[in-house]
Amino acid sequence: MKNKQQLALQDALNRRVFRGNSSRVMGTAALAAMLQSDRPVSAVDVPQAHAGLPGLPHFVPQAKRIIYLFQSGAPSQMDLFDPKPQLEKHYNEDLPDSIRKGQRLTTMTSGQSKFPVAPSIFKFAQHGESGMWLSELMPHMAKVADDLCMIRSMHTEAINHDPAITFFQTGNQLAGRPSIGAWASYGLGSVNQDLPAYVVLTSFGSGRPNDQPLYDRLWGAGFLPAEHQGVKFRNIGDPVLYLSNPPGVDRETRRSTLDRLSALNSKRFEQVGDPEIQTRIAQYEMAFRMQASVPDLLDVSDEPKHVLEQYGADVNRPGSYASNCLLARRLAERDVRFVQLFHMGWDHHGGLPAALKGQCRDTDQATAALINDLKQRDLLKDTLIVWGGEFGRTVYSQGGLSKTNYGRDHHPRCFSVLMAGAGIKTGTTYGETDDYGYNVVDKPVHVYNLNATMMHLLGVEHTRLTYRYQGPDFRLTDIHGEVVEGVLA
Amino acid sequence: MALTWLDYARYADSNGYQSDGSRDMWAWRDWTINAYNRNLPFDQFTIQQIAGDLLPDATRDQIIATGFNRNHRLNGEGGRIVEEWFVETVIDRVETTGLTWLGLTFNCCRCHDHKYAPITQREFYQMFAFFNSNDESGVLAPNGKNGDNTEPTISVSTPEQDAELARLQDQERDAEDAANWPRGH
Repeated sequence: MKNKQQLALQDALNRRVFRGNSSRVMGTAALAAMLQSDRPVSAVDVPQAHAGLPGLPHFVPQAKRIIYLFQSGAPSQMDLFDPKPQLEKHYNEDLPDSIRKGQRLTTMTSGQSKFPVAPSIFKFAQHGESGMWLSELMPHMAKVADDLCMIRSMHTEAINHDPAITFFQTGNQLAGRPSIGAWASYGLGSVNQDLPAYVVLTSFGSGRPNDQPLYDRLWGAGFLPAEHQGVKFRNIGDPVLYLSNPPGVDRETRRSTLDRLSALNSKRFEQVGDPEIQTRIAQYEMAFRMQASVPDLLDVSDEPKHVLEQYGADVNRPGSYASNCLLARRLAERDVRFVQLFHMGWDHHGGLPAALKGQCRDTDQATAALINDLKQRDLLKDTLIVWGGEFGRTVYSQGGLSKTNYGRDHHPRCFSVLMAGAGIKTGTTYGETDDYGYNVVDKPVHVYNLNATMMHLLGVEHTRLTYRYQGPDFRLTDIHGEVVEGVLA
Repeated sequence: MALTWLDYARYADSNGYQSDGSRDMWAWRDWTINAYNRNLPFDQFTIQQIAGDLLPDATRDQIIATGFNRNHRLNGEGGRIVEEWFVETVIDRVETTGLTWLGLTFNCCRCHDHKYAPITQREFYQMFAFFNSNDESGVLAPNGKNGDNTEPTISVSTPEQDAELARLQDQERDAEDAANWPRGH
């Protein structure tokens, strides 16, 4: 009977089913398959968080979770990680064509009559047993140098922020594909039933407070079921709104309301078969559980003073990068699969020295503290940390160059990324750039390769986590990507 | 019914890049809803959306219908390379036209012939040539950041506004006539 009813509703299948998974509209067999979905649709079964796909992880993972510290705007590699002392003697000289090799430039500098070489004014030194080079702007990171792996040979194709961040997040420059955290959530599921598998925390940089914005689609689910999209905590005011019930509504009332709502939604699902209705039910349930789990997560009154002090004074300011780092550790303790911080303000087209100091003040101490804190709690061994932006910055100055001031435009051909924690070969500096810090000369690492490596550490063979949409089987790494064995322990 | 078509046609009253600033495309939306409501035949529905502006003596309605090809995103990011986004915009039109009218994805063939896909790379760029003939920049105009539309645009006054406009124009002409009347007549 039920089956007959379902068949009668075949025409009512909405566009999402039709476009999202065309095999589901091919006829009776497909509809039967849909009914065999392992997801509960009845109101009496309270849906649990997505448990991951069968067969995943593909192999024993090194990392149970990722904390991805995305530095939005693109930090200058040659002022922080990739020293080029020999550039001193080329100060203010025009960038040679033999180095630029016809590279396309953004329209912010393509009209410049001169491309004056701007050596970094910051001092570099070697740190730790490994002798890793780091700029004086990162004194705290210098102390954890032996826990880091530095990739100096990153490169990308995009030259402006939106396509470049979108590329890092989704493996495509154009919007619409699922983000890396959504793929992780879809493939591996949630460990913690009471928190989302993918949590996003954002913070404003003090180096360039009005830098270009972030947008929620960067952590979106694309064509994956919407329950896998990142859940962003707000950085101003309450991180999660409406955690408490309104006056007169207790938890039991809320529960019974949700049960009724869920029954109505399930009924509608039986009528139209739109999987997004199941997502809606699941998200209401997640919100209900978060009403209980989030206050405990956010209440840092149990943190000892010495721990808070490690992260620096900013940790007491909710929504700061430091405060988000502490929250990231608390999320890691609660087994949230994918925590992604976005720190804005790294886009230093002009006034770079002052702006970069501000950004490093925001992030240096707290990042090092996060690594130490996880280590002390024995969580670093199965937590992967990644620190980096969407591209690098040019060796030539954008606008005026002086001995104390310069700016740098976007540069896709080389930049640096740091990794630490689970499965990472620490104390390693991987890859090499030319004397101008303009081109990669050894062991290039493309965005696809970094993403493949992150998925590898989570126990996912990146070529085998796919989703069929409008015909092709899509994946995070498109048709590219190789695991960077050289950064693995 | 129109809702499905609006989705396929990537309709939105916003530009789709970065913080997704607003623009007005609702006139095209209204045209689409009306097309369903007045049961416009599918051949007309197709012709007017793909090339309504090229019809002989195209009406304002037919030009608005061609807004289908203006539903693409517009990049207003500082530093964007105009030629790059012009090409992306053309590709967007090829892909959308392929998906909506031919029921075929035109994505793989942008870069290569695919052993299963019916459209070759060569055919992709033959289709590309149709949409490549247009002189729109493909990027957001400076005024577009403030929520205005990027050229080319069309004014979509209501019949009431048209009547009021005509009345004011008459009034203006009368006033001008009066002002120009030879003194001392």
